Amino acid sequence: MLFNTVDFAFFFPVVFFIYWFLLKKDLKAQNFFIVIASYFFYGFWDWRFLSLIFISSLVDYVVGLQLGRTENSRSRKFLLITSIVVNVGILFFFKYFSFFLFSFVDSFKFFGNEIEKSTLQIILPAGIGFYTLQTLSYTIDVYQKKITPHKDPVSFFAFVSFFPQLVAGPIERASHLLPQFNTQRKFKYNRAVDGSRQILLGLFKKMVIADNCAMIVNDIFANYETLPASTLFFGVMFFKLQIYADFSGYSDIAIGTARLLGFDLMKNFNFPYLSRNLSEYWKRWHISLSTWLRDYIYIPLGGSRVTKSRKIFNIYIVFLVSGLWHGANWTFLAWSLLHATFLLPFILGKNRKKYEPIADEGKLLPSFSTFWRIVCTFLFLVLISGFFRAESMEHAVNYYRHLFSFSIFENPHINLSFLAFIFFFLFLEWLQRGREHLMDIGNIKSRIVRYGIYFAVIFGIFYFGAASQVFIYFQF
Amino acid sequence: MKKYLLKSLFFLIPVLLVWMVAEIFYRTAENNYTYKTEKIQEGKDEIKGLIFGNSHTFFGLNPAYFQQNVFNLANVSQNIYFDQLLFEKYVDELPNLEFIVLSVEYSSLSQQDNTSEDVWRKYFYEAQMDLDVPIVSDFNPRKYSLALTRRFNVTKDYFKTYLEEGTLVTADEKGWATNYEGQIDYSIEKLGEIVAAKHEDGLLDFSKNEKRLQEIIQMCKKRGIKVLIVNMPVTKAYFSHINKEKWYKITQICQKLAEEHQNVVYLPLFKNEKFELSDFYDADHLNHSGAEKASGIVNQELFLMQNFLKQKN
Repeated sequence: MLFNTVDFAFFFPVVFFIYWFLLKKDLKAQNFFIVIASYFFYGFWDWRFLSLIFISSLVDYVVGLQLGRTENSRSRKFLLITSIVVNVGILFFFKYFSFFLFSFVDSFKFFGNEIEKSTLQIILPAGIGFYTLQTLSYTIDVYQKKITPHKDPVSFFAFVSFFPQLVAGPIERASHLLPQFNTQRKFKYNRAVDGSRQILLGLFKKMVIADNCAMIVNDIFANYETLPASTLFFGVMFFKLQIYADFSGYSDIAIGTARLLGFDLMKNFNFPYLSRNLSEYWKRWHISLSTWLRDYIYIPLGGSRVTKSRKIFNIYIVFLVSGLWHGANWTFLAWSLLHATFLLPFILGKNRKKYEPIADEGKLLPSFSTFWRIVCTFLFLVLISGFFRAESMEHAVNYYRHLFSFSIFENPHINLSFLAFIFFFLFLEWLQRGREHLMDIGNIKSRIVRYGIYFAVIFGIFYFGAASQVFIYFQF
Repeated sequence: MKKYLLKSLFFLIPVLLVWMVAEIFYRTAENNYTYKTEKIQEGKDEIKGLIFGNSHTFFGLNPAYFQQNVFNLANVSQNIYFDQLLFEKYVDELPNLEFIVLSVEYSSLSQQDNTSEDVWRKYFYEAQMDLDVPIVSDFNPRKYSLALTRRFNVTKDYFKTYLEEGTLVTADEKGWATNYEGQIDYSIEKLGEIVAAKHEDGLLDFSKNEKRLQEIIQMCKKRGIKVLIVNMPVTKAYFSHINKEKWYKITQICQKLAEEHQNVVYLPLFKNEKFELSDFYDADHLNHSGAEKASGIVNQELFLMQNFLKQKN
């Protein structure tokens, strides 16, 4: 089920009323109901893959309990490996089997041998990359004794399958989300209002910005051979904007929906396109994944407390995993390795600048140096995003070949008013950069202004919302 | 909680009002679904032939050029699934039905049910053509509200068209398409490539739709109704971009149906040389002059069919 559909518009109010009115006083019943609602939410797309979530949940629940019962290091290691093998095995089979098989066949072809490709087409279960990382983090934390094993199966199953963040995150940590399932939730007006604002913002980002960008991007990427380089440049720019609006929009709706049910999910985006360098960008973009990779891969590999060469190796490993996590395609690997390479100077540089969390705090407009840094970082992100969007390496290389040509000086074939609107949107983000999210407008005292904003956003969603596209990050 | 719910309702009221207006609009404004249903009911005692299929026959076969009383029941993106449902509904309601024209196009046989093309249309077939559509779930709210099947801006465009033109109907009294609304921004070569790619689903499993054709033919056979299977003409630009192997298999199935059943004749017009580029609106839709040509050929074939089937029998 998608958040921006009629189905969800009917589903969520029903869940909300049962949850708060019928099951208000019974925490266990609320948790059980969350499991039922979450499985229905996921099964609405394809019920067959519910078994995968169930298996992941069951294995990690049992492994967690067993880890709590033994101090034998060999047994503990065996249990951890069991969890990793099951979770990563399922992920590998559904996400990477075809990729490795076809790459293997293609490499034989390169050396002149033809092997028939398997006709097996594997459907990718939505959100498998997200809930796999979430459930793995639980087992690793229990193994490292950062948290104690969770004994209540219902709340554990609810933690793994919690529908607001099941298919596209934020990837929650057990230490943050699991305790919330064991605490009596109370409906709080201010939190509910903030959640509703964030849902509105998410719908606006998804339906007005992302879906309209998608139509432009799809057209440009499908016909790049016949278009001038200037249009191709805007093609990658619109894609970068699309992916931000799409993914952060989903996170906004997820956080808002969870808040309406009394839960706090972690912040996943912190105005990433206002970053002043690549290092800052990775602290603001898909925060739940970046911190997951930091905590479960980078730090166990030695993190920053190692030699310079080892540090470089660790960074490449982290980005390699990030690229593979995003998808089984060489384009994602190229994209992630480029990021790693250009990030190195910021990680290794002796005099690397550490920026204050809020740029030019208290100022209406950015200083020239801040503006320049934001623009350069954004342009870099735009230019390499072609790898993320392209269907294959061949497609990406051809796209860039056309992009870096003299037709870059021709008049681009794009909708300038839409582009201007998006930059206005980014300017609004600049104005709200110190707040939780763009629609965090509780500081506006005038009720008329606040209501005017709500109605404008609602109107925008209905009037300018484009044809629905699937959330991009569902495929990861 | 009470305060939150009341305030939410305040913001939802305009949305609910718009929803209501849109629902009333869809339920009262005449469109191709309601219009075709009305016209076929009006002429049910005189109709001798029915044309099924998608936009290719909707635009390409004009009943005005047929000698007998024919009604065009084709529609945009109408697949064999809906052809069968419509046929089953009307076969016993039309006492003088003598023949039907079934269109089999490049995408017809491999087409799956419930694709993005059907995702809203199925509700209109059920609600406005009075069909019992099995792929419409009783638990889906769209079954009970047509306004929920389309995006607001699509509804807004329909509403604007309705205000400007006074109708949403784009067919004449015999069901033939009168209004081509496609916008062409490409050369015919490029368009052929784009449309062929759009029609390519990569599937070669024709069993489900072949079975449906068999069922329609069997029902016709029992009632003494003749069946003409036609592949409508397309431009060379379109043809050059389709999978030839797949097309060959499609023609083989059409041929096989004609050989297996005495009441069936196969008329392949897909790459008929009589059709020139000037006969098309775009890569695969005939314009008025193209429709005149195609209708003439089909009409002639139906005439010959009478004699041929007599000999065959």
